Amino acid sequence: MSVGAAVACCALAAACTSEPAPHSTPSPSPAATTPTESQIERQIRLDYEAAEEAYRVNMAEQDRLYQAGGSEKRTPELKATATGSYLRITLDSLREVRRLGWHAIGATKIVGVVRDRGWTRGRIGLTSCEDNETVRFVDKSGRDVTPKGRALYVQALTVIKEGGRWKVSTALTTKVETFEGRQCGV
Amino acid sequence: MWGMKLIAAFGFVAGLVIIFVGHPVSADEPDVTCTRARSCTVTAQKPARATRPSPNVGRQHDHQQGGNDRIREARKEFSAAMATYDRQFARYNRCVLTFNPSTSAAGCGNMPTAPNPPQFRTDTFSGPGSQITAGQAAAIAVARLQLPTIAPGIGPSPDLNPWNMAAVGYPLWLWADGPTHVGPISDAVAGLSVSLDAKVSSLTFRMGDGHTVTCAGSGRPWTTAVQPGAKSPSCGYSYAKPSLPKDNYTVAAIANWAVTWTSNGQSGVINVPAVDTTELPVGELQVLVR
Repeated sequence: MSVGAAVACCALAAACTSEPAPHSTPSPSPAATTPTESQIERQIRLDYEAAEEAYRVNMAEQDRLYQAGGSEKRTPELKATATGSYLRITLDSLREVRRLGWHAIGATKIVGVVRDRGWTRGRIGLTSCEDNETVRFVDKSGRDVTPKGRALYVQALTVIKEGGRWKVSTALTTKVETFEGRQCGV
Repeated sequence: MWGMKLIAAFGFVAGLVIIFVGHPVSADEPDVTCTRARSCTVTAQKPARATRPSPNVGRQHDHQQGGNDRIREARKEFSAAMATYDRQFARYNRCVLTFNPSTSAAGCGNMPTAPNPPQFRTDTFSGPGSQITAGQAAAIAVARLQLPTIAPGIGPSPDLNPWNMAAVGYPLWLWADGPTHVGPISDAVAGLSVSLDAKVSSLTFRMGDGHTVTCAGSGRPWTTAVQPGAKSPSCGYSYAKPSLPKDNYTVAAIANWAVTWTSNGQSGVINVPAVDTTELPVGELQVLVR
């Protein structure tokens, strides 16, 4: 290869130094995507973050409502972060707690959330380890009425995008004795 | 509480149990959602096994007959929707696999789009003999799965050199620019749980100059650490003719997704191709040597 060809070659690859040439500008075209994070990878990351945030906000709102003695209505926070069967089941449980005159002491501990169940546009699967044993229920007289049974849940969550917002739409629960060996339990 | 009788059947020890049942509770391993109040709700379950209708007579029978007609109608609609989807999916496959940016195959339009998943009424799978097959459930779940776009990755990018073009004769690296693995992901179709795992099994590039490059796997991305002029170890191409000054080459990447499904003890693979394009200016580089 001649010197001139080598120079041209080097310029074409912009690899004379380990960094891109100073005049280069990132292109929005897929061909110019850097190997660090492509547009779609960024989209997936942002979607996952938003979906997990929706789940955590929803759980915090549930904590608040259970501690307040349940709820008859969907609060704006619940509606903004949950939909479908998940919202319906949550609300039914909150109504039942209200009907029974109970309230919760303590909050659910989210041990971990893993992004292991795939991504498609508008639909994300998450797995969460929820420790509900930290939640006790008392009745109006202050008696502990916490239902018996283990309350360590591995929740397979589906979070969907609805009206531009990520909302938890389903949760399939597996009751476990321990989170040991569970990815979300780490 | 009306659901209390069912508590023992599910083996849940709970202070309060709310159970919704759309049809008789008979399936094993129902999908449940539990709240922090330890209440558990059945959210989905496998359809009940087909049983012969009881030989009741009278009004109950008439009522049942009306229900059966409605269900029969729903199933007919479902069969028609599946057949339409199968046809559309076959056409989509043909259009993607033969996609050429410079020509368009008959009936394919400019860019093939995947068909919408078949729709069905909820009562299609209720009643006797209503079991959806695992294959049907998988086909619907795959149709619902919107696989991410894979753009043609081409390096070094034309934006990285002073001429903003790729050069004739220069070895370009080709790769899949986008996620090449989705899953495992679960879906439920008419009460049947379907698990899906999608991987790009091969990648075909139509280079826009009439040539095609097929690569096993998803290629290796070019980085600035690559030696100038080095060829890609897995997937590459050198243009023999320029596209400039007339135009750019439209390069298409056709990703072949192999979607492995499992449902109800059965499994299979459904291949779903996807296509995306990018523009690439290719010119001749005149090198002056004294």
